[in-house]
Amino acid sequence: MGIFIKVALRNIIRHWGRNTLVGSSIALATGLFLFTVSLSTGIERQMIGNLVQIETGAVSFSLSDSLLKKTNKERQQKLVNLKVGLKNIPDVSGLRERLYSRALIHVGNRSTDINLRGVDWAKESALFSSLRFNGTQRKDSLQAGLLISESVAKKLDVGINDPCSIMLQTVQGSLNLDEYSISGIYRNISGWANTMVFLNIDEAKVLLNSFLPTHILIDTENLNEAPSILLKTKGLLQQEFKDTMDIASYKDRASFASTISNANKYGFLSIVFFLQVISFFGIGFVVHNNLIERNKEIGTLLAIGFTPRNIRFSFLFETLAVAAIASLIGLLLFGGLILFLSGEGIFLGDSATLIFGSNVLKPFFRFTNLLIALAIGLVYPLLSGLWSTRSILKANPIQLIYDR
Amino acid sequence: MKTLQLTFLIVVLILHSPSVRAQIKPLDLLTKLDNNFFAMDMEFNMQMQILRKEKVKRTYTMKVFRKGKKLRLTILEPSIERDRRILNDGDNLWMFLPRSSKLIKIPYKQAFLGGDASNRDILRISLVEDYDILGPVERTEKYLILRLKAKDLKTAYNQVNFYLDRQTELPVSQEMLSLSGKVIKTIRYDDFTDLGEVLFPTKLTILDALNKDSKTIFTYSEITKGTSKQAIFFTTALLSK
Repeated sequence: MGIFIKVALRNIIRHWGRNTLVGSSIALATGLFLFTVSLSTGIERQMIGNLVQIETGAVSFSLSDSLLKKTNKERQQKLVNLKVGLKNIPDVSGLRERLYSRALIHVGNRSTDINLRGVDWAKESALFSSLRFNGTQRKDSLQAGLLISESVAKKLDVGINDPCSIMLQTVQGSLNLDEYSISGIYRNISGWANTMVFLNIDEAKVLLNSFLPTHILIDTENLNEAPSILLKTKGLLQQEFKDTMDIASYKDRASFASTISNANKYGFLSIVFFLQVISFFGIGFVVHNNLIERNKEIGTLLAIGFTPRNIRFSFLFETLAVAAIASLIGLLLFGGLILFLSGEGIFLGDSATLIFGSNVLKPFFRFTNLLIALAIGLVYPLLSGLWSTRSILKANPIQLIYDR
Repeated sequence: MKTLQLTFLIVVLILHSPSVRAQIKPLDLLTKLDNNFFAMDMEFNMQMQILRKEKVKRTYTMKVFRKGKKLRLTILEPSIERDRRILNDGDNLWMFLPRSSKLIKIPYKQAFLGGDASNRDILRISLVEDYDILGPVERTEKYLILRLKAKDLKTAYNQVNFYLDRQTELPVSQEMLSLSGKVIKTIRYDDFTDLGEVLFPTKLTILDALNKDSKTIFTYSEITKGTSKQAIFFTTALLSK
């Protein structure tokens, strides 16, 4: 068997040009598979991450209208009890109170619809870290005033410290209007998030005329625990309030993010699949040509007593060696690219949010993806080799020796 | 006798003193406003012009019938919206869409036909039902000011300030305020016409405080006091007919 391995290795060097071509094809297909899978994982993680940090937490619930409209001391006390209960749930790392409302923001004669988010900046490190700013932005500077997106700032033609007014419907139903100044402008995130305007929760409570938050977000360090936290929160809500509240885990609220990331994942995978199909036939064609060119050599080996299986093994080993080297090179190159891009990501412009749900693409490296890519890089050239060398098993040595 | 003469003189002086003469009961003023402008049974044609930067962007003409707590209007122009009908049956607002023959419930807070007025502004039936009086009637050099506070927090405008002519007690303008006390809209009343016992404004201009370029003007014509329409006319059953 050792001699066939030697023959195979010698043949790799002998047919250097051809093997480089085959190897490049394998390296590209394997590396691209890893890159696209990492990109798709990155998009999903980024979208889910944004959603969890900006909007949903691991589990979130909204207080019922009747509770918000008819607030009394007893109900406020129940909410305090509920919060104590929630904090005692294992794996809950924190609670964030929010006030959500649709509103209209006005500057001069310009106005636009916004999603107002009253947030407690002291507890919103996760939210603050998920937002990006041009230049430096201090969290404490957001205590007074509004934090808007670049998209809203552009629509209203405003900058930092400019005055603006917000009009909305209070939780009871009457209209309310107040004036604020812009204290920060965050870089656009995605279509749905760009309409968000953040305001300190205390000011939001005054504007919405509510003592209570409209939403409570429950955070955890381990998102896998979200179903168990959801179940326990439901129990606590039932215990404290008989009202029905809209409660869901981040996964239930991530249907939009999941749809976009799945669409991207399958789009990317289909490209990689076609690349590998082409590569499969390309390798098959090269190995098959290799066989035809070396008919005399195969015929001689068969004539002196080597079995067809041994000869086939030599060809397969040659293909496998090329595949292994090429796959490793491809994975190293694209793995390096992934690590490089996973920091800042690739900025594609705001229009990209329509396709990718974000204007920045950040691939995410996962070791299992690397192993899958390596396995694919070895298996499909091997299958291609098996398919193209099947004729050796039925070969006639005399015919091959005299083959012109 | 002298004491009696002095008492009589004091009484006459008190009765004719400016403070007593000026005392106007705010509830009377509000009821008068309601009866003469908001809750009066009447029929009229109404033209609505939506203006942006002083240019007319859209014009609607409609026929309005008002009876008791109910109001019904039919759009006459533009032709694309002809026969669209809106009904305030005292409890809810309904819109009949003739092309699809559908009857839909519309919210009070929605902008009336895309203008600066909300459905409630235009289709309001009574001020007394929605608002309480906020203090006595104030007097300025030109106006009597009647301040109203919403009876509950469900009402869109938490406060309404009526500016009335000091002499005639006719409405001059009306400010609609938010919960925080900031003016959201102003309605100006102009071009009063004599309807027999009352003078009725035939031009209403609605100004959006947040969008100074925007304005909506309502012009009333062919006004008749009272209506011959029966109660059934103001029901959803007959809105499609």
